[in-house]
Amino acid sequence: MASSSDAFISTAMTTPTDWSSELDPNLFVDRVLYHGVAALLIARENWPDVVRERLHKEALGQAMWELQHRVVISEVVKAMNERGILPLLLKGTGLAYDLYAEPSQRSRGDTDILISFSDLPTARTVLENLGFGKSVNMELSDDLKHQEEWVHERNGTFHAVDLHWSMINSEALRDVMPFSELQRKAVPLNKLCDGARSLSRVDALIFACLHRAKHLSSSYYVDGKRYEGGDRLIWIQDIKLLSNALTKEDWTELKTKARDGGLGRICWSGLKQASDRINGHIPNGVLDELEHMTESSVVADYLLSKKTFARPFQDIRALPGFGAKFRFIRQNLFPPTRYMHRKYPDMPDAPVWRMHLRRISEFLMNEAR
Amino acid sequence: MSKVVMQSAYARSGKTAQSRVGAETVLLHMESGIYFGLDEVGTRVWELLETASTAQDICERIVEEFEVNREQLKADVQAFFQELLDAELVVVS
Repeated sequence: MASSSDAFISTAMTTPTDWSSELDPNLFVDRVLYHGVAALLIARENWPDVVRERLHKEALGQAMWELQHRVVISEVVKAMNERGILPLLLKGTGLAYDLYAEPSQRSRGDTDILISFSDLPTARTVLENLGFGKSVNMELSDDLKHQEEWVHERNGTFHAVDLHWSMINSEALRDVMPFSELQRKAVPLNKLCDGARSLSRVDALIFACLHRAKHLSSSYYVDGKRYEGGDRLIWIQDIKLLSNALTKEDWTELKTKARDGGLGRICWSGLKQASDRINGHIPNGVLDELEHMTESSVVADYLLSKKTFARPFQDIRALPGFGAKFRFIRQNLFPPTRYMHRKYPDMPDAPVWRMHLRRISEFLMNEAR
Repeated sequence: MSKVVMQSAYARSGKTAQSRVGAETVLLHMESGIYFGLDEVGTRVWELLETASTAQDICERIVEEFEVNREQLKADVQAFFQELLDAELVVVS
């Protein structure tokens, strides 16, 4: 049922489509919500009322959240600018205010902000001053992690900022798409607010493909539920909108960056999905060229390999010195007690060692799957 | 509280943010955090308010575009503008 719903959603995203009586309306809407594309599918006249109503309700909720979120994020950008920080807005928010007809059509639960590592202490102060609180996390040392989540409540709505200081959460890939290079090519995002900036469209497209590739084999959460597979249509829609917006010169730049960075297979995979599933326009020859960049690279091997069990070892190998490696292993294997209590609220009275055992078992079981 | 005058020009207050959802619009008053929902006709009125217009002019445009009774519409537009004015979503231009 999921696959027939998914195929129907893909078709409906590209063309006016009559309802198919073979679909279960509620299961269909569940798949639309999973894919994050409700706002792109509203007002279909001959679809069942239950489908139209649920999609409309979701789209209204997204619109309401977006209006508040824009205010909150504009304050963050302004305050960071005033402290000399030039943040880059990544993924959902960057694309929502660049390429979507209405920003609320790009569903998401947070805003990803990239800063320079050297700006991290100031950025934290800015967020604290604006009333954000840092989410309970594994409390890795700053040099061993790549992001942290900050949350702010306003008028009963929660707004999260994922503060990144490298593009991909991996030691082995820490130097992929360096901040200084992205900053040099960054473009204004005036539709959000003055001073807001995002990745160039070429960099945004490469990153959209990287992000999708990463989630082909690593899990992600939608509305609190864990998923794997990297096939969410909202990510593919990002790739489609970006590829449709590239100029001839942009495509040349993309191919050069893909070749130099060992990203050919990753870009090919994302663009092929956009082309096959929702009619993304890719200029003649580009897919062939990317597909035949059959290079082996650290990035491609890391992201496209099915052996995700090897990733922690690749990350450990990339860390400089025995001390950092040791801290990385210790902090990842045995997070602080308050993190464990938050992760396992169903074990309030259990000794901590049982929670650690459960966490390690879950990791091994996921890998075995 | 000021009353709506159909011959006065009104404009969006600058304290609002808006988002289209199909034929409808969601407005947020950014200072109070209060949301407002506009149906299709309300959305069209809101669009026409992008440039300052008199309530009467907007009424005429709506009559041309929608199949509505002129007198009923005039009363509806007046009441609608009063709500917008009271909520500080529009100002007298």
